[in-house]
Amino acid sequence: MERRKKNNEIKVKMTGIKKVFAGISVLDNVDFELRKGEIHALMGENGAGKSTLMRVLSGVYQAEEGEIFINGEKKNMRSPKDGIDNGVSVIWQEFSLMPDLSVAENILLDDLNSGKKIINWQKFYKRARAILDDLGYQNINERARIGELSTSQQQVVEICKALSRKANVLVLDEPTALLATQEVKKLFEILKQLKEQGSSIVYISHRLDEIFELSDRITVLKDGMLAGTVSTKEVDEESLMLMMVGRKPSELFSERVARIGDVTVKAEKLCRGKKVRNISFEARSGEVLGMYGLVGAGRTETVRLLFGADKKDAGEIYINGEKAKIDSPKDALRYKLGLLAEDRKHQGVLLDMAIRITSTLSSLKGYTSRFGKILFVKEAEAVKKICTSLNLKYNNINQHVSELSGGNQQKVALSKLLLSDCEILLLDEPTRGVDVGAKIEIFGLINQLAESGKTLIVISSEMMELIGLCDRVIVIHEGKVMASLDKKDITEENLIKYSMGVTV
Amino acid sequence: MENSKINGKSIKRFVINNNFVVAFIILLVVSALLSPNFLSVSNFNNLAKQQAAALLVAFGMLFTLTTGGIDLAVGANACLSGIVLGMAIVKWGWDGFGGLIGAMVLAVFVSCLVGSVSGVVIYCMHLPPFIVTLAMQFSLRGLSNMISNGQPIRALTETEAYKMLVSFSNPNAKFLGIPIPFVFVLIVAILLGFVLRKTSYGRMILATGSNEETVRLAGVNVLKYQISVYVISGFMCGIAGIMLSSRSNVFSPTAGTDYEMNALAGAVIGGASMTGGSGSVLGTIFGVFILAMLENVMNLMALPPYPQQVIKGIIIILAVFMQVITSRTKKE
Repeated sequence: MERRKKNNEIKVKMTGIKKVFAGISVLDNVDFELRKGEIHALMGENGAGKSTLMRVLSGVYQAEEGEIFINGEKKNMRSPKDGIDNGVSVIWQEFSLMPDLSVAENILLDDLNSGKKIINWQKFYKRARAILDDLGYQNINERARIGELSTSQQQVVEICKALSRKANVLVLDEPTALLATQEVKKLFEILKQLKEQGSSIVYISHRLDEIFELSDRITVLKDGMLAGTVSTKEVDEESLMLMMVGRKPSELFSERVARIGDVTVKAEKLCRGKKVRNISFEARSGEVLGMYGLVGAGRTETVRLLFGADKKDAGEIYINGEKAKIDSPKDALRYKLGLLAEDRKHQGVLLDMAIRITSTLSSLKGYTSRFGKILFVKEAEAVKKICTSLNLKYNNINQHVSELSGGNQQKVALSKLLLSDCEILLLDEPTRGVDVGAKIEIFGLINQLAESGKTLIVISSEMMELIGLCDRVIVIHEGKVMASLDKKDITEENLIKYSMGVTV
Repeated sequence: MENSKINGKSIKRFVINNNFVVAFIILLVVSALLSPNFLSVSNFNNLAKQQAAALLVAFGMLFTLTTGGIDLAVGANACLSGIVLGMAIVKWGWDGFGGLIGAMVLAVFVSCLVGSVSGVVIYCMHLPPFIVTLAMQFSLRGLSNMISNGQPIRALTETEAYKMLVSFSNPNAKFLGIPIPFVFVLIVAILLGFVLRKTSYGRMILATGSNEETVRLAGVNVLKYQISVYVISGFMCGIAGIMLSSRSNVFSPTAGTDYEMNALAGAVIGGASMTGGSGSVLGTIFGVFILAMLENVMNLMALPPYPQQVIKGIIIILAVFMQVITSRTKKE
């Protein structure tokens, strides 16, 4: 039940915001309004301008045009300090905590000694303790080192930091990306509590279920412009998608005729420490096998064992019926496996080198003469061809990967797999951080590859993806396979149930 | 790399990518103004001859930098090579053309061995390259002193092998008008430059330096590349040591002192990053010459040695600063 307080009092008003980077308008005439005691969701594809808008609000960027009003007063946000002084606090996806300092020091960073010259440590820890207790976190020790806390606990510390700065406008950027289900519930409780107390919250997220549960209103940005602001109660998933991308959810996945053949890869009793405990499964040619589970369940670890990226403690791998000795990625490649790593920036692509270098990283031998000289023309042809088939938006194949958008960077990582001619593809969160347009293309690619007889193992945390793409899904919980679901059994209910360890 | 048209935009890009050329030209002009003797054929000839060994050592350093490593033992390694050469020619009496060749092969072999030891210790025991090669440096100096008894090995009788060795550095030993040592360095430079820019080996070592994990997960055997650059460095040091002995006519346990610092500065000024993933042979050549010219003009101006070192330090910081600024501009 919503309480009718001064619900229409406007806390933040941004009008006509325009932000330009290197001649391109990343924000163009955007209006945004935040009320007191409101949770306002901010949605849009990657690159739509959500983070940029919040950076303008918090003073990190200065807009070329437009005005910002806080509590009705026009404000000139020239630096992050201006943002903080005006009660705006942003919790970015990457956090801005100091891992070697204590929880208390991080929370009270701006105000270590209450204006005095020497820190009174007793009072200091008491203050931090009070803030933590207020939110109901008696179990977080104010003297503990940040580095020792879990991700969700660190997030709590970030929220405390914001509160200690007397922030009444809180911006959260993709806060649940790394949280487990129970932690998400607790976060929601805190946010609702803060809302009741009158704080205004901007919630940036891709996750529709969360947005529908939490928010009062939703603002959608598209290509740097305002697509619209709607009341959450009055809108549904389809119309939101339409606002974001111009397409309906049913158009996301293409049709595929499943032609599933023999078993190509079989994992038997794989073990590694506490993360992978006796995992067995198999996959066939022409099949898309999904792997679902909570964050930290052991999916990535399992796939890495399959690929030889980590050493297994026990277990066997069979490729096309034969026992395979895979002790390194080089071995895996020989067996025609390919890995699309979860962390593409640090494991998937070479950010500071030309696109062509990443693309041919696994297949360079094919473009090298007998004496080791690279055959640049042949390579260029192959790279351009694969980029075109992936619809990769680039200027030329010599530009650095870092200059591309997230979705295009992912395509470069994919091109590496495709050029290496692998038969069994291991894709770890292939659409994470990728805009909807590129997502659809990647889904289409996965279907195409399956149709051509390849075996695909897809790790994903988005249930909708798994439901739409996979022929079978195995659900992993704390290092063990809980269930293997056939297509008709791949439902949200089953996925959640088994991922939490329920065995019935 | 491949086809590019020459126009205003590409000239600007060339300057940003190769700012060591700009630095070089500035220094050239300033030096010419500061000292009339600077711009003379004999001065340049001297400069070129002196830098031959330093350049080879710098190339070795460059290759270890590309993979994100470093080799602080290059100077000491070159010294050891000279000592081994001296032992063979003077103490063991290897003589004649065959003897000389044999001695040189042995010296270079030892240097390569040293390089491979560094590489294996770093990458198989997972230790930081800085510390390992620093320790190597101490050990190698000690070894050189042990073998030579702390004294330069002098040839009491000038054997044929010895005379041949020294003749390489004879001012009249020229090939098409260029001093022989420099011809040699030129050939090596062209070869290494080709390897770095045009071969799969060159690409892989740069890629490994850029992001080792990505390259490993792409199915590449990174260990092979990480260790082999140290062997290449060893090889370069081996030859450098031979050149140093040839020029100085003795086989000294103090040869190559401070060469690693000049090599590092030269390579970095020339575009190499200390975290790996970039660098060029051409840039290193310019970098080494920038430092050499600096020292040269300061000598011509008769500046006392200590102020010279201060100025050298300042110039290195300025040159690297320019390097970093332009690479930031490249990123934007």
